[in-house]
Amino acid sequence: MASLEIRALTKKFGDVTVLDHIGLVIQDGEFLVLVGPSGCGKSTLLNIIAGLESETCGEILIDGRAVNDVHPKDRDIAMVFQSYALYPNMTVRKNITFGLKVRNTPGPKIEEMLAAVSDLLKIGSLLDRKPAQLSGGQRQRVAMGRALVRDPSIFLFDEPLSNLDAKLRVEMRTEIKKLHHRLGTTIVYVTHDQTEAMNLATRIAVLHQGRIQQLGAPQHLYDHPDNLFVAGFIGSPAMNLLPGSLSSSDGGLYFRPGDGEDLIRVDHYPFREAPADGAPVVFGIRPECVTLPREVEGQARFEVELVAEAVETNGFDKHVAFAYGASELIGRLPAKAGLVAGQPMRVGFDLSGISIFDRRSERRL
Amino acid sequence: MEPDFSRPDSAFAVSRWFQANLPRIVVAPSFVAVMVFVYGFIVWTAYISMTRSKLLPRYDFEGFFQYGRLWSMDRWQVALENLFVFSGLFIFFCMALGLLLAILLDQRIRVEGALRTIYLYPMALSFVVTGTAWKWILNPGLGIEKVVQDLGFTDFQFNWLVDPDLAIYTIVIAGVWQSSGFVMAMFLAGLRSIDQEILKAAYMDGASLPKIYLRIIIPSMRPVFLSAFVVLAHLAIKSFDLVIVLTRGGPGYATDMPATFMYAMAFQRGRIGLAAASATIMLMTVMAIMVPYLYSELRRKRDE
Ligand SMILES: Nc1ncnc2c1ncn2[C@@H]1O[C@H](COP(=O)(O)OP(=O)(O)OP(=O)(O)O)[C@@H](O)[C@H]1O
Ligand SMILES: [Mg+2]
Repeated sequence: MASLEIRALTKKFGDVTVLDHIGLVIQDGEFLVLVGPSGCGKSTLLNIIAGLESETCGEILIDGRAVNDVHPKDRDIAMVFQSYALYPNMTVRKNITFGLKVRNTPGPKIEEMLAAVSDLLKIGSLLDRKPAQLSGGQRQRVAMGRALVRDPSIFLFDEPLSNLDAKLRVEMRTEIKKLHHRLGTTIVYVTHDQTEAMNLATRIAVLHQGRIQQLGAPQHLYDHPDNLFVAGFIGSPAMNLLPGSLSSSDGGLYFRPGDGEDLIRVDHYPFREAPADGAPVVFGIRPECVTLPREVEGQARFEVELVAEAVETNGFDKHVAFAYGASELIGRLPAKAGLVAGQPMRVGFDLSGISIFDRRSERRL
Repeated sequence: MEPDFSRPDSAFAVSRWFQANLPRIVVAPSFVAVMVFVYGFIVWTAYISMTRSKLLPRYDFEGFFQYGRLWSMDRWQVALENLFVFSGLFIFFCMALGLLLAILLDQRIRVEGALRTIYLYPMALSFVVTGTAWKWILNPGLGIEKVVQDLGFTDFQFNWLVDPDLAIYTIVIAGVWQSSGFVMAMFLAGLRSIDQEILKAAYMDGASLPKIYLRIIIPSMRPVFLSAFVVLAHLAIKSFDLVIVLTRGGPGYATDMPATFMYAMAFQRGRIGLAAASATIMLMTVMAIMVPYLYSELRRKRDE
């Protein structure tokens, strides 16, 4: 087990800056998920931590010791790759023990560790097969076994589940989580799937345009996104984002959607700094806060009549697309709610969990 | 109009027969030609090898008489010995050099494109050109020996081409020069097809670069090795033009190969029966290599 610190890490490929002064402190035993859209540099960051790629500048510290010049094999890090990267010519047994053999671990000790790992991952019956004879999920297990058997102080996972089908992905996700509980090893896990990030992480770092957009606990990111990018990225369906402006009248503070007449009261919103009157803002509300009026509890509420344009059911609830001015608004209604597409209906906004962003800086107000 | 399927009239039946059999009809002429000119003549040659044909073919069956004669000839023994020396060295050095070049090129050096073209270039030449060029290069009066002597090293000798014991190695040199670039291209393609993440994983597992090549990359390129071996082996057994151009089988018959032996017997010495026997033996040698290869290839296809 170990802590990991990244200081002012920059990576350029030619003129392109892929990572721009990344700073990150990962505590011992933490499960940090790096999430971001495709091509934002997640794999690059992971490879630099592993030592497989060199940084342009910046520092990597493991347990307070700078490891920039330490060979990957001596960093005590194990990595699980997206393509599993099993050695095709070796049996599962040899795949798992290769790293130990290379490090001259004594034979009985290797056997012991192999037995422990194959027990843990339930791959005992696969040991004499070649990777080509395994299913996707089995390969995934073997790849994890190869990382586990080295008993490293830090695990790196690069989109380990993205090649699996939906059901298996959920299963393996649970297993990885259990594994983390059991071993307590520090994990840095890369994915572009925000659901996976929310489910696994103790903390999430959202990476975009070479920078960490926000770092925090999953629930915190969900409730208090720092900027428009995080607001749109975390959560599915995504947060509704309505452009408009703030206006104060009758001693209250209101949000007025761009082209509408409505005034949505936002007095209760904990502004970080007092906003200017008429400031252009983006108003963010989660789909589950757009629902039937009777589902909305508490004082901070707003009601409006909207037309449902499209309805999707997933059995548990209904995702409804409403037209609201020029914008579209996604709401989540109870599955039992009787509604007909094209008909106007009363819709309630629960305003207790809204987010308001400055339209120019895109930052949370 | 829709054809009426319940009462097929004869014109419709004929056109349907044509449609169903068109591929067969198109392929038939070349199929017949191959059957006659390849397999037919293989059978003919095999038969001739069992007759006493000399300058002209004769058709009375004599059994394995020509084979007995063939195996008692010193020249045939030399040809076979040369074949083993040549193909052994040729295949080994082509593979070793090709693999080495491929591994060096695989280190993602900047001039890779240019180097690859240079190495591959000899393959574009015919063995006749290669043979001629190397004949000059190795000629004691014209090539390397003369150049080095002109530089002042008057004792320098490099006369393998005219030395009966060493001439066979000049053929190896020229053959390797010609073919190793092609082998390199095969190996390079094999190396490139290996997932980069596998190398990263091995690197993190703590394996050194030579170990990664020896334990992971090269073993997983077994199919490429097999293909390269088959290509090189059949080049070696067929080797004819290179020998003819470079040494004409000489000095004496020191660099004779089965193919040049057969040519000499059939077209210079007027001993068709003997030539046919040697040709049959060459065919069997090639088949001994190709049949297991094809068998394993086909079986792998079926397994997949
Ligand atoms: N060797 C390289 N040379 C030049 N550019 C590169 C190189 N490797 C990566 N890049 C660029 O760096 C950026 C980040 O790549 P990276 O592989 O880290 O993305 P990622 O976040 O892992 O994406 P994904 O989710 O698709 O795996 C990409 O825009 C890519 O084009
Ligand atoms: Mg990636």
